This record gives sequence, C-alpha cells and structure tokens, in this order.
Amino acid sequence: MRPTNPGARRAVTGGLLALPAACALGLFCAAPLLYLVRYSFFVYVPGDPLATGFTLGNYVKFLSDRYYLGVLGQTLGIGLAVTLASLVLGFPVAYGLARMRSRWRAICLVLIISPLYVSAVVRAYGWLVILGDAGVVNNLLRWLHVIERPVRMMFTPLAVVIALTEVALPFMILILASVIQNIDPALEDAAANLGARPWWVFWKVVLPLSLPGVVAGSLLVFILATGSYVTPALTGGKSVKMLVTEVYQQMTAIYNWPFGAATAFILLAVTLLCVTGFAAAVEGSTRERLGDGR
Amino acid sequence: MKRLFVAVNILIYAFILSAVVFVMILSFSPSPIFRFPPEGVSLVWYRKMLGYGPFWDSMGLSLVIAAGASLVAMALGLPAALAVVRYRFPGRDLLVAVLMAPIVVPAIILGVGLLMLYTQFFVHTLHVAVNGTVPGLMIGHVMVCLPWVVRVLIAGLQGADPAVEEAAMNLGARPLAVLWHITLPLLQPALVAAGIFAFIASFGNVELSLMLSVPGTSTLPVVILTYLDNYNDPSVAALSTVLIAGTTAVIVIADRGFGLAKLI
Amino acid sequence: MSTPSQSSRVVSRRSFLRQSLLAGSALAASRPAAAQTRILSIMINAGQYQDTLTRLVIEPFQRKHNVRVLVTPGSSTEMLAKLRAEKASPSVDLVVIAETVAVTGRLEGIFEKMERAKIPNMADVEPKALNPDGFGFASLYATAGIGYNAEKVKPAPRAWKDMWNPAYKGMIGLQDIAGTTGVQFLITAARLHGGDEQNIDPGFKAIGELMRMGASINSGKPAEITNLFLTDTILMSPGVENSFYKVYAPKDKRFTFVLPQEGFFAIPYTVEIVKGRKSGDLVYDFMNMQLDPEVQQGFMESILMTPVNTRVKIPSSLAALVPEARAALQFDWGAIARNRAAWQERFNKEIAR
Repeated sequence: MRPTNPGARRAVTGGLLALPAACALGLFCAAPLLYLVRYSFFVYVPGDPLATGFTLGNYVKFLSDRYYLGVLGQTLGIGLAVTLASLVLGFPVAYGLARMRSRWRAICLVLIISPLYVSAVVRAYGWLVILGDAGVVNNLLRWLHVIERPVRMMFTPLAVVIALTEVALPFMILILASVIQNIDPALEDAAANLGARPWWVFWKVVLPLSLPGVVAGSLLVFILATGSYVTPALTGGKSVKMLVTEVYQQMTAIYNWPFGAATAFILLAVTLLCVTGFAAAVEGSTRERLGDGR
Repeated sequence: MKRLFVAVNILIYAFILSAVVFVMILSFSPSPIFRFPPEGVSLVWYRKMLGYGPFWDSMGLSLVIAAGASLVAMALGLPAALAVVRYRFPGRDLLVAVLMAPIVVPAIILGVGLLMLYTQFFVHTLHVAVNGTVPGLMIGHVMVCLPWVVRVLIAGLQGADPAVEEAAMNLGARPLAVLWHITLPLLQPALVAAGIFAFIASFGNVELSLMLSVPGTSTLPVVILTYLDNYNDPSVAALSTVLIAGTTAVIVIADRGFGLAKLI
Repeated sequence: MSTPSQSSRVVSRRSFLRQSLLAGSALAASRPAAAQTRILSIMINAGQYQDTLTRLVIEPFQRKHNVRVLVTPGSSTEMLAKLRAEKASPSVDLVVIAETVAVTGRLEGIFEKMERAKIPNMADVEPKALNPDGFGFASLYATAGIGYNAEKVKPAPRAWKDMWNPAYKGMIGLQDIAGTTGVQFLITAARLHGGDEQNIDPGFKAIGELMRMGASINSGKPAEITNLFLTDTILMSPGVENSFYKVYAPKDKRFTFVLPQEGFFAIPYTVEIVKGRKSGDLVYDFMNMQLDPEVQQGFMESILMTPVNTRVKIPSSLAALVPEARAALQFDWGAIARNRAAWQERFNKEIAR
C-alpha cells in the first residue's frame, strides 16, 4: 500500500537521514558562530572590553580599507594558485594510482599518505630546510657557483603556494583517485581503439566522468588553502599577508574582537560565495548528477 | 608517451615527499641545523625524543581523540551524504553549503565561539562543565572531521552508478538491504578515504586544539608547535620520522591482512 | 599514586600506554578522577621557564600539598584569548603572563584582586613588583638587551642608539611588536627620537628607517631567533633575552649579549589569579612557593631571571647578565595596553611588508 505522494515520503526520509548531522552542526558550529556574529556588531573601545552597542563600523572598516582588501585579494589569489597547482599535479598521480596493479598501489598509497601524518608545522620547517637561505637549494647553487649570495625564497608568496600545494596534493589525489576508479577502463580502451589520441581520451572521456571528483577536490583544496593558518604563517612570515593570520592577530594579540569577528565573517562569506558559485556553475550544467531523488 | 607519464608521476611524488624527506635526513644530523653536504649520522636526537615525556603523553591523547572523532563524524556524515545525493528535501542545498562551514571558518573563531557556548550555555543553563575537558575537545574535532567525510562520500556517491541499486529495488529488495549489500560495498573506496581524511584532520589539528585545550594534557601537534617555538633541535624531526615509519608499518600490515590497496 | 608530569623523564614509554588508557577513561569523566587529590590548573609560558618552574615549584608543590598541578603551556596572548572566551566558567586557576596582557585581563574582570596577607613571603618582595591596585605581582623578571654575533659584528654595539649605525646595514633582526620586547623597543626608538608612549610617531619613523637600512622582522620566538643567528640570516637583534648566550654553547661568540648603556628591558612574569576559579585558596600556597628564596635563587642561577624576593642577592659573578630590576627602563603598561591595537595595525601596514 503506497502513499499517494512518493516524493513527500522520500523527502521525509532524506530529511531524517540528514537530521543528526544538521543538529550537530547547528549546535556546535552555528551556535558558536552566532556568538561571534554578535561580537562583530559591537563597538570596539580600547581599554573598555565590555562595550557593546551596535555598529556596522567593523565591516565598513574592512571593506573601505585598501590594505585589508589587498589582504583578502592575496588570500584568494593564493587559494586559486594552490587549487590549480594541485589539480594539474594531482590528476596524473590520481590517474596512475587508480589504474595501477594493487601491489604497486599499496606502495604508492603509502608514499602519498605518509606526509599527512607529519604535522603541518613540521612540514613547514621542512620547507625552511629546503628553501631557506642556508637550505638545500641555496647550498647546492652556491656549491655549483651559480650564485654568490643566497637567493631569498622563503617568506614569499611563492613559498606559501609551494608549501600549501604540498599539503593539499594528497587530499586532491585521493579524492580524484577514488572517483577515477569508478570509471570503466573499457570506455577509454574503446575510444583508443576507435583511433582517439590519448589527449583526446583524457579530455573527452576521463575528465568529464571524473568531474565530481574534480569539483570536490577543488572545493576542499581552495577552502584548505584560504583558511590555513600554520603553514602560511611559518613559510610566509610577516610579509605574506593572509586573512586568517589577520583574524588570529585580532583575536589573540590585538583583542579587537569586534573587528576580528567581522574580518572572519567577511572571509567566510567570500569563500562560501566562491565555493557555491563554482559548484553551481559546474553542477548546473550536469544537474542530474546531484540526484533528483531517484 | 607512457614513459613521459611515469616520469611526470615520479617528479610529482618527489615533490610531495621532499619536505618530509629532508626532515628525515635532518633527524640524523649531529648538528641542529641542516648542512649540505651532511656532516654525518647520529642518533642523539632519537634518544632525546624518546625521553621527552610530553611527546608520548600527547600522542596517546591525539590517537584516542582522532579515532573517536572520525567514528562519530562517519556516523553523522554517511546518512547526511546519502540524504544529499539520493534524496531531495527542502533545505538540501543550504545543508550542503553549511556542511563546509567548520573548515571555512578560521579555527580561532570556532574555538572562541565554542568556549563561549560551553561556558555560557552548557555551564549556566545545562549545568554541564564541558570547557577544558576531553569531550569538549572531541566535539570540536568532530566538527573539523565532518566536512571531509561528507564531501568525500558525496563525491563517491555521485560517481557510483545508481543503476545497480535501481535494479535491485525493482527486483523487490528493501531500501536497507540495498544499502547494506550494494551501496556500501560500492562506496568502499570512498569510505576508506573519508575515514583516512577524518583521522588525519583530527590528528594533525592545531589551531582548534589550542583553544579547546585540556589542562594538563595536550594533543601532539600542540606539543610539537610549542617545542619548535622554544627549542632549536631536531628532536621533532626524529619524532616525525618515527611517526612515518609507524604509519607505514600500519598501512603495510593492513594491506597484507585486509587487502587495503584494493580498496582505493 | 604517581602523578603525571610534563617534564622530561628518562623512561616515559610506559606513561604513553598509561596516558592512552587514561585519556580513554577521561572520556567518561568531565575532570580527571580527583576524589582525594585536589587540583590546581595553571597556564604559563612554555619553554625554559616551564621546565624550570616544573623542577623548582610544581613537583615539590605536588608532593608537599598532595595536589595535582595541571599545566597548560602557551603564549601570553593566546592565554588571554582563552580566558576571555571561557570567562563565564574558567578552567584555569592561576596564570603567569606578560604584563601587557595582564593589564587587559584586570580591566576586563578576568583576574581577581589578591589577599596578600595569605602569602607569607610577600613581606620580602620588592615593592615595585606589586601591582598598585591590589592585583597580582611580578614573580620574576626576564632581562632583554642586545644580542649579536661578536665574530661578524664590528664595532660591538653598546647602546640602543647604536642600532641606527650605518655600519650595521642589513644585519639587524627586529621583533614583531606583538611581543613584549618588540613594543618596548618601539617605545625606546620613540624616546631616542623625541617621543614616548603618548607620541609614538618618532618611534615608527625611526623603525621605518631601520627597515630601509635592511632590517628584517621576526616573530620574536626563541627558537626562531636562534635559527636566524645560526644561519647568519641576522647578526644582531635588539630585545633578545640574557639567556640567549647560553642557548647554543656558553663560550660561542656568535651569541653575545650586552646590556645597553641607556638601560635594559625588564620583562615581568606577572602572576594573576582567575576570578571564578575552582581551586579556592590553593593558589596562595602556590604563589608563596614561587616567592621562596631558594626557588628565586634557582631561577636566577639556571635561566638568569631576576628575583623579586629582596632576600636573594645577585652575586657579582652574574651582575653583568642579571641586573637589579629597579635599574630597568620603565614603561607605562596601561598606555601600551590602550594603544596596542592601533600600533599593531600601523606596524602591519607600514613596517612588516
């Protein structure tokens, strides 16, 4: 005996399935943020911490100051660079991993995952060892007499992008690999047998079918890169300005919590905008992928 | 063409491992800073690291919290991912966006907000002391793990062909049976990846753990950060090498025992 | 029942297993089982200070009073952010924190005034170390001056104003003003050029000049400074602490410390007690032990901190490195706390680029 509206029944089931996660998020993520949203509208009076009031001044301060907008721009730029680099570098490895025989795959998996168990702090120091003034690259170049004085590579935006890409790559690779795995190799073989060049097979067969992985991986990496604190702080120093570092300073050194909160929410809004915009653009053209409730 | 592909792959692997490899080399160097060519091999930092209590105390806590938080995140995230991909309900798109919130928000903000929630709401209204406790810390970690789990499972579900599930249902199988016998096995690679990501996200988390710290015990990344701020020796490099060796051993054993590699 | 300790111990692999089980069982309890043992929760700066405090105070205190001391190490500024966020129900009883941050904490009602009568050793404490409004006190002073590489820096610097000597182009590392010594140097730079805490412009201009002469900015963390010196990235740094010379090797000329002629920076290690704490008067016993002459002497001898207990005399062998606290340059901590935000922003925009 079926209810007259299977759509409604499925909606209820879907809602119930999502309920535990939604409740947990609501209580332990949304509620804490609400406290800080309130803070972002307080008036900041140095020396008088109990000042409240209501003002949009904190947001205005951020949006009208070229310095802070510049920091936001640099943050997004670095995030984009890291995402692109991870995609370009990650896809070949993910494809290789997905198509490997299991004996090799175990070894490669170990290689890819092992850096993840080393704390981000330690990996940042590793880059100091490699890119620092007294590091491997500089020592090698001086030993070969290519340069006289060390080349400054650490504490630049490039160092931050390199370090963040190294952190992000394993995630991108694993996500892509688990999706590519589900692509039937027979499709690629068929295309090749019909005379298609490898590049064409990739572009027209593999890439479209792995799009969910590309989207998921890109979103995660972009968010990771723009929201990262420890790695950019250690590899970029004070001269590479990231918005999260600014928020940290406001919250833990300057104690201008109203402004710190406002900055954080501006970052949150912009990132979510980028993320949903990107997801919508991609998934809009392939709407049936997200599932129509079949 | 194939050789080019392999060569490119090798270069990328080298890039991924470079920072870690040099940390490992540094752990054996007799002097605290890196010299090239290396000066020699010494185990002095290993001895020092083994004797430094806080490393080991905190590692135990980190492992327990990471395991617990990953499990809870999987339990919450799997139904949510299923709901988002296979069902349609009001607020679905909003939920998908909000699910990312814990890792989009700077951890300092989430940490401060959680502390305010714990002390102002939980203590004064519910009379439950949560701040400065392990459960309080773990809740924060579950929030950090959840977005990873959900995104990976969504991608996995989207990539899995629903035709098999449909066929089973058309043949009369009940939804729960379809889930157990068909969907979950199809999802195995994604489930393993989600579990790994969640564990790593929790085990390596620094910023949130700093704010939600428990008096008397710290998590390993916090201890490492504090050590690196104050002491200038490669003991941490030695510790990291041991960690890599340990997790490699675990993965190899898991592969031999359970055929882990076939899952991904 | 032996108590877990945060200090280095020779055989701690057993504690690893025990801690894992303990952490597992702690999942069920809000606070570690403490039916008989009382608990004192403190927040202090990590590093050498924590190690010395553990050895000289925490471990004897635990034994003497049958108390378990839970230590949360961290940086002063992070500490205050935590205390502020959990103000409604703090998890900490006592903090040892930087003075600049302590000012803010007192204003916000995070810290509580002390009943000084409950601390017997208070009678011997240098009056300048006590907060005039009845709050906490400086338990010790760290001393900061100029650190430089004596092999490569010629002529040797003798005063703060020497920093602007063109001979030192490209050698200097300055500390971010988020740290105490960084802001003390900013004010010193202002004073040397006609300003002070109320008129900080000359300070920023002077530091801007140093940047144009090739100075770099670092975070001020001990390990980072050591690393910068070890790799010859910087050869001189104002605001470095006197224990700097012991960092690598006591006789190593690359780590030379000097007290500047105009005066040195005294960095108070301020002790405050938290309002709404759970441990009651236990904090007073702890603070009393911190002020014991033997303890103060121990700090002086191992990490060169200046004692505040007037019973402890500074021997002539250490006089060059451990000066009397009252000879230090004085700073208006209240003004610093009020202006911090504006100065930091200006520093980020103008200097740290």
